[in-house]
Amino acid sequence: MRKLSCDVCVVGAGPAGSMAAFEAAKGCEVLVLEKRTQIGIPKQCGEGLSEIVFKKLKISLKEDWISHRVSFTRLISPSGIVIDLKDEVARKQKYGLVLNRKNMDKGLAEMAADEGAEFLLRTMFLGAKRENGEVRIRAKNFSEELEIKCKLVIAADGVMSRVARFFGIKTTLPLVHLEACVQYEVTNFKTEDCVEIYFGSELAPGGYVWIFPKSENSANVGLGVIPTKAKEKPLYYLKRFMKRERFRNAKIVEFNVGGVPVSGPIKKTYSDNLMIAGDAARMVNPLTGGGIHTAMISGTYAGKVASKALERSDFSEEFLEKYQRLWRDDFGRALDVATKGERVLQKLTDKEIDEIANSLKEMNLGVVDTLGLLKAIVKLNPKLFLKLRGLL
Amino acid sequence: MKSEILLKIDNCMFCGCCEAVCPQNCVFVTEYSVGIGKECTFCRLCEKACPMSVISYKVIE
Repeated sequence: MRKLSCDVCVVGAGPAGSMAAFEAAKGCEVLVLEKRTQIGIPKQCGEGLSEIVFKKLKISLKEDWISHRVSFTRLISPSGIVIDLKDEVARKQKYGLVLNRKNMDKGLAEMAADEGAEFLLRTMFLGAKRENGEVRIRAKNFSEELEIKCKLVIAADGVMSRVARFFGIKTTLPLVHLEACVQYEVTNFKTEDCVEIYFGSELAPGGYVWIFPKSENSANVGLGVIPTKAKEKPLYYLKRFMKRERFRNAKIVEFNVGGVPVSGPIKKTYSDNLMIAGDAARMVNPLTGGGIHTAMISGTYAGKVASKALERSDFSEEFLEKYQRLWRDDFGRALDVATKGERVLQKLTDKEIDEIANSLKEMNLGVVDTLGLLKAIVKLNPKLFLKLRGLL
Repeated sequence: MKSEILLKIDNCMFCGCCEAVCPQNCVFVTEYSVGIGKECTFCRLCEKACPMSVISYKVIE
């Protein structure tokens, strides 16, 4: 068994893990464990993101991280009512960019490596235990067993999130809060200058269908379903959607599968010697399924707090609680509101979604905020008050 | 009643949905393999979560 030591061990080299490693490596010895052999592969993502997060984190956005830019978001109701979110509303949307995640994830890892973080690929986390204020991690690098002694662990191990469980934090995802997603990367069909979102219980029970353009003739076309609501597996619904006329000549060049947690964030994202970031902490917007920006921001906070913890030699949960305060102050409320929104959306029938879409069509979407929008919807559809009141 | 777990590993995309929902923490997904530990209580949540019909359960007696 090979023995290693470091200050901070980050498990997972997605956006949360690499951003945590990038920040922590400015003041600590950092080791990143990644179970796959290639960072960013396979892609498990629709790849939509806003530029705002890069500006906020002062990261220079590389051109090869971007596949395409879109101008607005188009919502399509179950009966086909089209709502284009443009102007002020569009500017607030989070899907200005369609990324190349393979390049971006690797690029973020390179940033962390340039700061001094070490990466161990094809390394499975097997377990961990606290000992005299430190942590001993068991891992396997290819066939070699490793024992890693560290002061702090940052769990950024994605939706399956095994690490936190070894520290006594329950991260098991209830089936009703898992969006099981499948996606084709499709070429040879004409895309629109927008992200397209289709709703409908027949199309994607408990979820929605997305089209994120990767170019003028290629896109990520995918969908997520809640397994408890869907009679069939998600691939059945995607194959059915792909039978539409616009995909007649389309060719599938990639197939992706993944799970998206829509539970809202876990209550406690820290413990002695531990912080949990990104999908592992369920920091995904349950309404949109978007989690790249929250992963990057939470990873950054975790890395910063890790550096401070090392400076003070304090790895207690009393000190690490600061991490939770940082991300909560930043995007906690937005996730809470989105979680409520998702619960409401789950209760709406197709007919009610159509009624809301009709109301939205009558409004000038450029001049109202979300709350104003909801109030106006209820005014036009008083019977929806009971279902939407949780959001007002 | 005894059950056995059937894995159609050729269908697996190693997405980890099964591992995410397992209340016993006994599903392990690596880059190219899936393992189910002996703590499995045959609750079948992993079977329902799997987007690719990799996991199924068969009652054997």
